[in-house]
Amino acid sequence: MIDWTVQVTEFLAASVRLGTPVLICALGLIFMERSGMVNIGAEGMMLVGCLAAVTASYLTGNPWLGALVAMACSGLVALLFAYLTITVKANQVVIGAAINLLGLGLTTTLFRSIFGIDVALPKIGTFGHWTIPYLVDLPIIGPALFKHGPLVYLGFILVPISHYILFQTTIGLKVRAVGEHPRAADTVGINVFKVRYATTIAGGILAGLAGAHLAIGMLSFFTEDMVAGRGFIALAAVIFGKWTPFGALGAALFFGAAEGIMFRGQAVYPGVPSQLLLMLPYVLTVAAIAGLVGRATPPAAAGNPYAKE
Amino acid sequence: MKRCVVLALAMLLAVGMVTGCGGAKQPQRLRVAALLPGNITDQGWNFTAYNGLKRIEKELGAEVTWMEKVPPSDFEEVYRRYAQQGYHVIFGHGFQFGDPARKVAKDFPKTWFVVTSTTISQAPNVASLIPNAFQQGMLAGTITGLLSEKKVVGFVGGLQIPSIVNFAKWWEAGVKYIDPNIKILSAFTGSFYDAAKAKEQALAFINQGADIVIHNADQAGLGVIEACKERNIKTIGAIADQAHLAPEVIVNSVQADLTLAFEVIARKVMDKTIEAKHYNMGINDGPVALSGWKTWDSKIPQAVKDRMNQIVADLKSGKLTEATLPK
Repeated sequence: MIDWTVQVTEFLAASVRLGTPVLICALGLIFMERSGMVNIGAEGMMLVGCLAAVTASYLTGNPWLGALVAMACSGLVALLFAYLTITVKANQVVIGAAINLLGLGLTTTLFRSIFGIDVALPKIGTFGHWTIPYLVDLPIIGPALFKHGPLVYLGFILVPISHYILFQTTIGLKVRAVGEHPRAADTVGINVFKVRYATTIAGGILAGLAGAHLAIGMLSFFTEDMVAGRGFIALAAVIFGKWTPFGALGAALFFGAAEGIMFRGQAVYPGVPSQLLLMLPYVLTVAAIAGLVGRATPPAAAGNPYAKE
Repeated sequence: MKRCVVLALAMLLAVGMVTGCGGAKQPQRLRVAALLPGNITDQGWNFTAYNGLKRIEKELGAEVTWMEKVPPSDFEEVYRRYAQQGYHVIFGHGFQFGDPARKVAKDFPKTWFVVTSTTISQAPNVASLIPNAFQQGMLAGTITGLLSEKKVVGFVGGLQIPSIVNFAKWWEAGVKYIDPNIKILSAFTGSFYDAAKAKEQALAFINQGADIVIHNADQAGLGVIEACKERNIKTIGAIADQAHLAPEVIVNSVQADLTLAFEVIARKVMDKTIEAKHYNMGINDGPVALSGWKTWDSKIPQAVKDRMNQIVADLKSGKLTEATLPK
C-alpha cells in the first residue's frame, strides 16, 4: 500500500531540508571556533536573521534581498558580540547567552511593532524550489537531492569552499593559528584581533543566512522563538564534525535524518510512545558523539580572550 | 569612556528581557491579570486569551495586564505578585497553572484565581474554565471524516498536555463516527514553537497519503497550515477562526474561543456572582463553534453541510455526548 521508493525519497529530502539550517550555521561557527571564538549566541543571531529576512522580503517582495538583509543584520549582532568579547574581553559564554536573550527580546518586540498582533501573517516573497535538470531524474536520490530551495544548494556549495579556505589558503592558516596559539600568531605578525573580528562577523553572516533559510526558505513567516534550539544543535554539529566543514555536513545530515525518522516513526508505529521518538535525534547525537566520533579536541585557544602584552 | 560604552551596551542587552505588558493605573476599576504560557501572537490559544483581556478592557472598562511565556518555575511568584498588587481576578491560561493557583489562593482569599483548560476548583476562590474538548474534537473529526476522499487523515499536536491529548482523542472518535475504516495518523511534535518541525510532520503524513491534515499546536500549527498550502491539502483551523491565514486550504475552523468566556467570568467577578466551581463552556455557551465554510461554501457538497448541521444540532441538544457516542 505504501510506496517505499516515495517514502525513502521523501525521507532523504526531509533530512536535507532539516539539516541545512544547522549546516549553514555550523559552517560559520567552525570559522569562529577555529579562531578561538566560542559562540553560544548562534541561536539569537539566527533569530535576528529570521525576522530580518521576513521583514525585508515583505517590504521588497524579493527573497534574495531578504536573505541579504538577514546576513547584514546578523552580521551586525555578531559585530556587537565581537566588540564585547574581543575588544572589551568579556567572557564569550556570558555574552553569547546575553545575545540569545537580546535576539529573542528584540525580535519579539520588533515583530509586534512592525506587523502587529491582530493581523494575519503577511504575504511575503519566498524561495521556490529549484529543480536541477537531468540530475533530478535519477531514481530516488534525484528528487531527494536536486529539488530544493536555492539556499540549500548554497549551503552545500559552501562546504567545499569553507574547507578550501580553512585548509588550503593563507587566510585559513592564519585563522587556525590564531585559534591554536594566538601569542605565537601575534609574534609572527598576524593581527589576532582583526582575524577574530573577521571570523566572528562571517559567523554572524552565516547564522543570518541560516535564519533566512528557516524563515523564507522552509517556511514563509516569522514566529517568535522559531529557531527552537537549532543554533545549539549547530554548536553540537561543530563538535560532532570535529571542527571541519565536511564533518559538520555529516553531522547536520545525520541530525536531519534523525528528525526525519522521528516524523515518520510517529506515523508508521502509532503504538510507540511519542516521547521516545521525540528523543531520538538527541539520543542519536549523544550516542554518536560518545561512540562514533571518539575524542574531539577543540582549538586550544577556544573561549579565551587575547591580550597583547 | 570605554566603561560608558560597555554600560550602554549592557542596557541594550537588557532589552532582551522586555516582555509584553499593558494597562494603565486607576483605582476602583476591575483589575484583571493573566498568566500566559506562550506568545499572544500565536494566532491560537494565547491569542484568544489576549483577545479576551482586550474585550474585558473594552466592555467592562477594566484594567488588564498579562505576562507571556511564564516559565513553570515562576508560576507561583507571578501569581503572588499580581495578588499582592490587588488584582481582583487572575487567569492562569492552561491546566499547568492549576496547582500553583490552589496553593497561592489560600494566602489571598480576596482574589479570584481562574484556571483554564482544567476542571479544578477550591473554595472559596479558585474556579476553572474549560472549552469542551469532546465537542471540539467531534466537530473537527466529523469534518475531517466527511471531507477525506482517500480515507487517510492526519493530526499534528504540540506538547502532550491534557487539552491537546483530549482533543486528539475525540477527533479520532469523530473521524470514526463518520467512517470507522479511515486510517488515522496522529503525532505530537513536542513543541508549541517549532513551526518547521510541525511542517515536516505534516509533510510526512501527506506523503503517506493523508488528504486532510489538521493541527492543534498553537504557534507551531502555522507550520502545518504551511505544509497544506504547499501540497494543496485541506486543513481545519484550530482554537480561533484561522480562515484568513490560508483561505485556499482552511475549509472551516473549530473554535475554542475563550474571548467571550473571559468576559463572562470577569463580569461574574464584578457582580460577585462567581462561584468556586468548574465552568464547562461548550457549544451552547459560545466558545466552541464552527467558524463557517466561508470561501469553501460553494465547494463543499450539500450532503456534507447537512450532515454537519445535524451534528451541531445533536451536540447542542445533548443527543450527541460522550455517553451516547456509539462504541
